Amino acid sequence: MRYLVILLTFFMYAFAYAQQPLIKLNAGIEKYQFLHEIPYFQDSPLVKIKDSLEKLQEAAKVNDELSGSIRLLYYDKAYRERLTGLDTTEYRILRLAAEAHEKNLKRLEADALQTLAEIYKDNKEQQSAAIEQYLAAYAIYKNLDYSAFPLKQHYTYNLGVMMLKYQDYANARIYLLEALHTKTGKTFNEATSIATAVGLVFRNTQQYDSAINYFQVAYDSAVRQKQDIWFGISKGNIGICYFYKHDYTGAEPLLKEDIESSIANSNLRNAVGSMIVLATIYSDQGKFAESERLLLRALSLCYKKSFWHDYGLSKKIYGLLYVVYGKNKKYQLSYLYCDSALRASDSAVSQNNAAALAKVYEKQNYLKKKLADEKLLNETRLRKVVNDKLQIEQQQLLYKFIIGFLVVVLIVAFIVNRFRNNLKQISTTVQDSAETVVKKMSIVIISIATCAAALVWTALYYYYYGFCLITTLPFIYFLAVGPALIIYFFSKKQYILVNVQLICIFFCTLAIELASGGFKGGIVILWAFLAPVGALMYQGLRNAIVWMVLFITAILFLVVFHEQLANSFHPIPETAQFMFNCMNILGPAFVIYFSMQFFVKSVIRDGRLLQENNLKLSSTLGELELANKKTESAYQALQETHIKLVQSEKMAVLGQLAAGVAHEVNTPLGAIKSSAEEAGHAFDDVLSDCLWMTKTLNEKDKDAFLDFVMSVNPSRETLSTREEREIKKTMRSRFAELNIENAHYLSDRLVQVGIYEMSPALELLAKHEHFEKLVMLTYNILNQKRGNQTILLAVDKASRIVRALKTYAHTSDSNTMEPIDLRDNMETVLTMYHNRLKQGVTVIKNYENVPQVLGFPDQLNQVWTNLIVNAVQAMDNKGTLSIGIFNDGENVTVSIKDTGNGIPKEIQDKIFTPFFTTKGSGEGSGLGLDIISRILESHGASISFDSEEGVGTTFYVKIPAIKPA
Amino acid sequence: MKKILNIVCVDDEKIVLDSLNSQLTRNFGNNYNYEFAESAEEALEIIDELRSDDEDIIYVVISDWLMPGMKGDELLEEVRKRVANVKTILLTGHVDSNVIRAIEHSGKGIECIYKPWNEEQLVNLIKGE
Repeated sequence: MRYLVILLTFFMYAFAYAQQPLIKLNAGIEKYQFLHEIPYFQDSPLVKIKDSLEKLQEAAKVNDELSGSIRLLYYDKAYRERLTGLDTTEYRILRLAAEAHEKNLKRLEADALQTLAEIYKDNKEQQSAAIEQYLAAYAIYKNLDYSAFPLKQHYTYNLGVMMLKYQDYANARIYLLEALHTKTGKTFNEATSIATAVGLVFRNTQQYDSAINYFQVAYDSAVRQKQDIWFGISKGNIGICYFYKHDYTGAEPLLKEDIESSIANSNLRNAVGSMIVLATIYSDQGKFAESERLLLRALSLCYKKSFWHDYGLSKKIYGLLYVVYGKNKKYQLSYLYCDSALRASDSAVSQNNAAALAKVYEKQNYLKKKLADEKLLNETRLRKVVNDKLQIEQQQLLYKFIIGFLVVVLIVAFIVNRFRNNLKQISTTVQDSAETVVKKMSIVIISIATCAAALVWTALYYYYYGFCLITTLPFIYFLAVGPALIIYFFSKKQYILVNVQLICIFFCTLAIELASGGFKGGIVILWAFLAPVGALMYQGLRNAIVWMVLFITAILFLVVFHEQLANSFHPIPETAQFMFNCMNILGPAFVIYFSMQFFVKSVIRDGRLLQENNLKLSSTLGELELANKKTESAYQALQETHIKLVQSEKMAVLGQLAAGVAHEVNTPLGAIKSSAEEAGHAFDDVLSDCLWMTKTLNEKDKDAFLDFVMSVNPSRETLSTREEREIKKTMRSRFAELNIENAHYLSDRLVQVGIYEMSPALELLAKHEHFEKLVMLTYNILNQKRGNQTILLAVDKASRIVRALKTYAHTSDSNTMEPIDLRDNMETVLTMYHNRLKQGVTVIKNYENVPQVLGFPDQLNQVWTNLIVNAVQAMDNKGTLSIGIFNDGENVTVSIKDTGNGIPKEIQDKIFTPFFTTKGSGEGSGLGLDIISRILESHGASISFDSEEGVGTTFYVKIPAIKPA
Repeated sequence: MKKILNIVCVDDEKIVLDSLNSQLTRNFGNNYNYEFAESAEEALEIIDELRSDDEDIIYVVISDWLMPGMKGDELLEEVRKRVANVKTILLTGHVDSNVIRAIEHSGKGIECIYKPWNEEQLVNLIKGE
């Protein structure tokens, strides 16, 4: 853009340069009129022109007008230098004018014509031709204003001067006044000359007052522009006016001024003219001496400046001298000048006659030309009127056609709209999707529209071509697509209609295009483009590409055989051609637009859906993220809670245990205490009894007693109270047989200390008189032993419980698992729960020899405890608890089976859920099985269960065994 | 023949029964007959058998509380239903149990004594002092 502006600016400057020499040239030509001997082209401006020209050469290469102007300048220059003849220059400038006319370069054309006129003007025989060229140039530049055409004023003035020359004062006045009133710029202003010319027009038509006014304007202008030469001329002209009005007093001083000024400015011819007028005035006033002196001076100027040949001028002087001398009664001199005047008059007459003859011819020529011009102008006007009328008629025809076409389109649109629902009903089936309906409707509507168009085309072709091939082709299209449309309405098979439509619209229009002479005959082929578009809509990309290739091939064919096809072109009126082209562009354009609209709409719809989905998704995603964060924090909180709950669950279990444990420990403690006390008492008794025995018994009895005591080997096995009672009964009855006092009491004591049968030693002793005392001694001795045994048992029991408790509550400090024998582990738990299980639950243990597993003992204890407590609860504390530990190679399986009610089917899949409990509120945390599954998970173990309502439940826990190294 | 009263001891732990046997023997000698049962059911069997000879032959029943099957307090209540003027003593290891406290203050005439028990206390309870 910036370069363009720079370029334009340069052109403007360049053009100003180009204009400059042309103005100078024209000004030079003007000067040439007045001063014949000044060779314009050796003047200093030429150097400037040469400089400018070099610069202009470059610019002219891209500017036709400029290059034309330069050429014009060269031609003119060459002519002026007489390098070429008039004919050559005339021919060249005419050619340039024609060229400019062709390229619509108005100003250049006007310049060329103007230059031609200037050249003709130089040649006296071609004055009328000059006028003709001036008029032609004027016809162009009269429409241009100053900014576009700076020389307008100059040219108009030239034209006016030419008219003045031929005494066509009416036209001269019009052009000169226009020139005078033309707005001028700095480059050109001839106001003085123009005003003078106007003044001359008025003076020659005897309108002296108007003439004086314009001469005054000229004088003012000359003063303003300091044109010294014009001061005198203007005054002289005014003076002449006064002279004609016989106002001699007004005329005299003005004429005197003119003569002085003109002589000072070497404008001698003008001075001579004014002298003659002034001399005439003096002569009329009887101032013969002054008149004589003036005339003689004028005559000397005429001789001196060789105006002598101008016989008119000399005749006037001689004639005046003859009159002046005659009036002054100097008859000799009067006669002499009379003779000279007569001779000059003869010469002047012959000269004038020749000039007048030439003038007559010229004028005749001029009038003839003018007449011819007018005739031409009238003819042109007439032709134009006829043409305009024809054009209007054709345009009206075109409008009629367009209106007709629009009416057809509107009728079709109306019918389609009116019967849209019926059309929809017969075009589509119920199960069609919305998009299919739109597609089907589109093809039906397009088919109807193109059928209607085909009929219109048929009618139009018939109108223009009559009945021939081109006329039948659109009708063939109608005959093919119409039935296809009807078949479609019945069969609802879209592909038949689509295929017929595509094939017809492609080949029919191609055939029309070929028959009508290729591109020269029109652009019906544009309709064929609907084939690829339709294929794209209804048949997919592959078919569309095939159709597109066919279309391009057809176009290429038309291009290649353009010349040959053009031969068969049957000319139809231009308007009809234009109309066909319009319709051929509009028709396909409409169909393509609506197809595009359909797809763009569906794309926008899809896009909007996608966008909505995206929005929904992103908001859902945001919600999800938020929810996720909440869940995460909740999960963390839950984890912490869970750890606390696991701990509290453990503590709760421990709390339950505490009571049982206390009982379990207190029982052996009670036994120990009483046994120890008993031992103390027994020892005292034994001591006193032994003393008694050594004193009372003889040696034989002592031996017998000692034998008995020594022989006693108290049974190590612990009998149940029932068994004891049976033994007691036997002993009692035997003692009764032996008539022993206190048989009941004594036999009880012996059984108590582990003597369950009547040994021979006892039989022997029983006959002793101190048998009771001996039994009690035996009892006391053996009871100590028995007490010790009890203590040992109790200690065992207590320490077993303590150990179990310790094992149970043991929390490993380290985070590493340790090898565990699950049997020991299970025993610990069973020990802890002994007092709970013993109330009504039979425990059946079935332990295989199993490998160790890796784990945290306290955690596994918790698992077993939970499962066993659940099992016992499920059995309502009565039933059989079967605990099995098996080895299946890789895993150690622990089964815990109860004979409870089983787990109802509907809650089987919920039992591992945290906080799910069947127990009443506050009885269970609902975390037991959840904790179990978590613990087992951390051990890589799994838990499963079988449950049958009314039969019982078996839990299986599989823990990976340690593989033997 | 002199009528000998019975003291029946019930505990599922044999060692407790053995200890009681020794203590009762030394303190009361052949003044009483001592019977031992390892469960409440067995105890009721014994009592019923003993009572078949004489209604009032049962003097004292000492029972543990926590036993498989029938609990100690239930047994003692049952005994008190069947036998008039019987002393009932609950010998329990559950020192800190609300249940035991409730039994003690229920006014059903059940004396409570806690393991490990004091011999003198037990003897005094039996003697009824």
